[in-house]
Amino acid sequence: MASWHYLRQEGACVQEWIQLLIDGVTIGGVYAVIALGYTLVYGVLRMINFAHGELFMMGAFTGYFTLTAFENHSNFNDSLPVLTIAVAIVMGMVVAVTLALLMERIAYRPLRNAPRLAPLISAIGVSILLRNIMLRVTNAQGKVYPQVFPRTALEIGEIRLLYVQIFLLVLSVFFLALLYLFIQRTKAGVAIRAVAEDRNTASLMGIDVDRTIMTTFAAGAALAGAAGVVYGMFVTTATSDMGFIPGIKAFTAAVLGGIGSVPGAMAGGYFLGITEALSTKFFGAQYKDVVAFMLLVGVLIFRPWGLFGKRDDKRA
Amino acid sequence: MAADALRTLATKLSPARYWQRSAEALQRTPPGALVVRYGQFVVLPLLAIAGGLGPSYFGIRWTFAILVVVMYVLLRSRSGLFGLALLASMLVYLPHQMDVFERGIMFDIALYAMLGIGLNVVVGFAGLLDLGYVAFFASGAYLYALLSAPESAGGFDVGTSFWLVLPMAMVLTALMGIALGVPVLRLRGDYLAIVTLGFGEIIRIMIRNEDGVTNGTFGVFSIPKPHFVGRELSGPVELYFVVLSGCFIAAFASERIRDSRVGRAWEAIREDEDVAAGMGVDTTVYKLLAFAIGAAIGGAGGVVYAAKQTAVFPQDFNLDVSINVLALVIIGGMGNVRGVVLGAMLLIGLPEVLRDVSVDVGFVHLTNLGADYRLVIFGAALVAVMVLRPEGLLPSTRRAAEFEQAELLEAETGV
Amino acid sequence: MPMRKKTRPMGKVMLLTAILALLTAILASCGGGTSSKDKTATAGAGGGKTPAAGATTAATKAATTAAASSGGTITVKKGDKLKIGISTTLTTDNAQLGIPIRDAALLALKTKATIKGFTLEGDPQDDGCAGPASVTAANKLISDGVVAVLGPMCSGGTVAAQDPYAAASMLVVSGSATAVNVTLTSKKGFFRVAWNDSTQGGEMAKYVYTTLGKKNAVLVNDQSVYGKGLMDVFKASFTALGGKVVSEEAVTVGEKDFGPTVTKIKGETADIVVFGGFIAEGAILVRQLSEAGVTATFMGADGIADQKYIDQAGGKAEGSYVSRGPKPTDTTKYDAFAAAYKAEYNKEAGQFGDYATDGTNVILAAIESVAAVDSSGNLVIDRDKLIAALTATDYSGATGEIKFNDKGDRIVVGAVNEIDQVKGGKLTRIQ
Repeated sequence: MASWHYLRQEGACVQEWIQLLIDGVTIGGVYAVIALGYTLVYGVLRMINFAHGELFMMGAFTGYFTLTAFENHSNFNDSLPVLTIAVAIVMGMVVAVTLALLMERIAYRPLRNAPRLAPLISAIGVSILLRNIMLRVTNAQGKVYPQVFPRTALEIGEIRLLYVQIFLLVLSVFFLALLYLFIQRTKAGVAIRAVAEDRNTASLMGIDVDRTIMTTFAAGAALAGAAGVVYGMFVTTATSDMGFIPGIKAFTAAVLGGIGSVPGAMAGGYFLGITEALSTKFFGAQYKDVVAFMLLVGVLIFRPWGLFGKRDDKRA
Repeated sequence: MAADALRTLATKLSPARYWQRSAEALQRTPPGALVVRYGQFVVLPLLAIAGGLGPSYFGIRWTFAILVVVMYVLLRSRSGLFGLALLASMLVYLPHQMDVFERGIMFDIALYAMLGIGLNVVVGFAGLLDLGYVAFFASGAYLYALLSAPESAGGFDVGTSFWLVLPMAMVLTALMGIALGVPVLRLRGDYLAIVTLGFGEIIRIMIRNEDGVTNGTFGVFSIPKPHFVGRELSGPVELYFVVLSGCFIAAFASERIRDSRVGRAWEAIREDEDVAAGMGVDTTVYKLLAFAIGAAIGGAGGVVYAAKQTAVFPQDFNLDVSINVLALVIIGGMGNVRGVVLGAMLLIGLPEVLRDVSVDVGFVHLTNLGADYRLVIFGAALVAVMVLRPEGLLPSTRRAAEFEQAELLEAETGV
Repeated sequence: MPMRKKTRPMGKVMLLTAILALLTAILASCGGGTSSKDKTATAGAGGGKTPAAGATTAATKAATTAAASSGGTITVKKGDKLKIGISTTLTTDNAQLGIPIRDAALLALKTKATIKGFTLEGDPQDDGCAGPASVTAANKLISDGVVAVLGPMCSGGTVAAQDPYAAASMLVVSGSATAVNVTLTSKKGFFRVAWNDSTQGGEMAKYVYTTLGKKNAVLVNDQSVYGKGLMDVFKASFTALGGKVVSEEAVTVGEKDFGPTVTKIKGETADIVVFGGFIAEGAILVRQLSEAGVTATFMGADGIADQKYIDQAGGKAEGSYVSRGPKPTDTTKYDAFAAAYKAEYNKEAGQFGDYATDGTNVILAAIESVAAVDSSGNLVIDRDKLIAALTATDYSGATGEIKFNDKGDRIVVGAVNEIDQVKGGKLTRIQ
């Protein structure tokens, strides 16, 4: 249980705190990147894409298959690690985007005017489908990433940061920035915001709604796929259920930040990650989800529209 | 009151009234529709007989298929009384014809139908998205488990009777429903979804962590079966009937409530909460009521589940249960109790029935297709049903109307 | 608001209730109706109801009463196959443990091929490693008319499924359910060739305290019945020996990053980290501990005793210890099994494969000793005798000598608790 004497210990304690924060930010960055996908799709379609976590999982598998192919057929992994990693990330994005467009076309587009919960169930169906297909494809064996990224650590006192972890941290921040710019600065981004604001009016203004929705799915999926590859390199394994828990957490993060809000999803992700890390320290890992959800309820009681959501938002 | 009910019963049953209605219908309906409408009186009994005799001749898979088809046609048709009588007799008769596995499935279907009816009050009637329904189910199950199981098996060694725990659980879970409802009342839509999801997880995690009270991960086992007039309800069939009656009571109650003042208030809230509030509907009270009623039904389901299962573990009450119940409500057709029953048959029955399927055509040899791929098929089926029938298999007439309205609106605005 | 027609279903539901009540009354008077179904093997085997059990009052007495009632016989008609049920996990990520169990059991059946001229056939069912699915699998196997069952795979599912199996007087042998509470109340017809965690947990504690000389331990469990149960036993034995449990941590199955937990462990002054759980989490934990610079020794149990643990840890499992339960020092039989498995499936046998094959063979031996061919060429097996035959088992297999006590647990005969250490990327036996 929580005991405040932790706070009074000095020296090693401070470093442990920093380490905990780093742990929290690492996983929080992953939540944030996945949460963006949730929030973008929710913004334009008002639907929870439950299968979004599965795109993350597919990204991780694509990364595994790509890197293994390089490992088996050439010595690229040894001579040009930067290139193979880049190719793996791009492949992860391509596969995730393709899948996302397919699922949008097959499972969601026919339901665009359906009752609100129909797409949710359809998404749950896609999620179960993808998870079990990968389970059969891999014969339930977790796949181990070839060691492309050296697993050495940066050490500052007692604090240790794996280089792959730094890569993951930097990359998630980079993706978040990239997406933010994309939404704010490009034409497609403006279209997404317009459709999110009011689909009918946007369509009257000459915006191709179908195309914009596809762009939204693609953008969210690209982030999830890339995050999957890098996270896969960090945790070194890919399994068929690895998208489920991050998916739920990212959904929580998106709501925490105010669903539909891009900066909200980022803040929510980091906030959730850090909360988990700290509650592991104080209450034990078995209570971290309880703390996270309690906190969510607490935040929503005082700000029902989330940390960054719009207050007058009717849909909230 | 009772006299009124009897009179209604008599009028409904009276052949004169029936023929009178048919005669009126005859004048108005085109011949083609007549064949469809009255053809079912020939086809359905045949199908029902096939369904009843099915297990002994065709095996579970075909029986299940026939049953689902019969159910679908019966529930959709307006032949009402006849169809429902047939349906009820089949539901009662069939388990006696089945073996222990098929009875187990029937029990699960009935149990999930009951949970679905409960969740339908929250989601279908009041329009509140609840992804944490498992919390009430778990609480009911654990209440009975702890109050009845011996100490060596993780219980409190109190030995409370099933019939006493049942109302206790319903009251407890209804209070829990209200306790959950109060803080989240201001939230709408998807915010509510994540908070309820969190609530379900919190309950499961607390049951797992507080091992001083609940025996934690190791669960509670050796839970006794209920007794009814001196007889132990030991098998799945006896408990199936307990759940089935629970289903009917829940269905009856929920339909009555839906058609009452309360139901109309829910409808108003579902359509537009602000307008409802403006019209003087006390949204807080009615939302809490929906949560409480839904929760109480879930709690009752949990008690029966614990009694049938004889062992409960925290990990049995995970998010999948909530998702399954929600999915069956929506697949069946939100707001419609009959749809929920059909949804339960498909969602709970299908993965089990698929266990034995194997494909051996040409060069495709997938023995054990069912055992290995049943969840793949299940996921694809979920998508297919939703895409083909977005309003669910059996939408309530009111809901279908809403849907059509929305479609018209969309068509007009050209989106 | 649009006008609403008078609601239709209302009166109907009332009617329905009336009709239902009537029908229930009629059917109830038929005494529940005997099953008209004639599935060959379940006939009289308690596949349907067990009225005899109806007299019991307290649940604790259920087992004894059930044991007193006759189990009936199974008849396999001439020309039919003799089916053995396999209840294991084929979906979810736990299938990585479950599939090798199925394969090993099927291989054992294939090797034996026939009993008294009746061809053996496996009937694998998915038990989902959970209570409800294990019960469904049990019902399925009972109605499929299997003679005996190997499984269920997980301890939780086993506890839940014991009642339906006991009601059907089914012989059940699990090769992987190790938790203490599985045999807490003895159930008719249940045995396990897997070791009770109380045996293994105690042996592990002894090894850590006396042989390795570690006095301060951090315990990590995966919150499963198996992992938590094993760590509870370990803690009790370890503290009884004089060791100190510095802290108890938990990891969540399915998560891939235990950073905060690792950081917390790093802050403790422990010289050993003991883990109760399975490969996926164990491999991540050992890797992250090593990468975070934790110098304490790592030790796991049979849940991670597999080459996959070493592979998934990416070289960081080197030097860690793995307890595998009591094993004979003579590995000829195990090697023969491993070679046969490799030849058949072209991969290494999983960590419970040897237990699965032994469990199957024990069942087959019992069937062979009890089954009799009657005058019309059918194979008749008495369920009670079959269970009695298993109680008297004295079999030597890949996992050593197999003998059962009256609770269905294995007795340690001529074996010491095997401890492996990861050396050069391989599990190497050191005790």
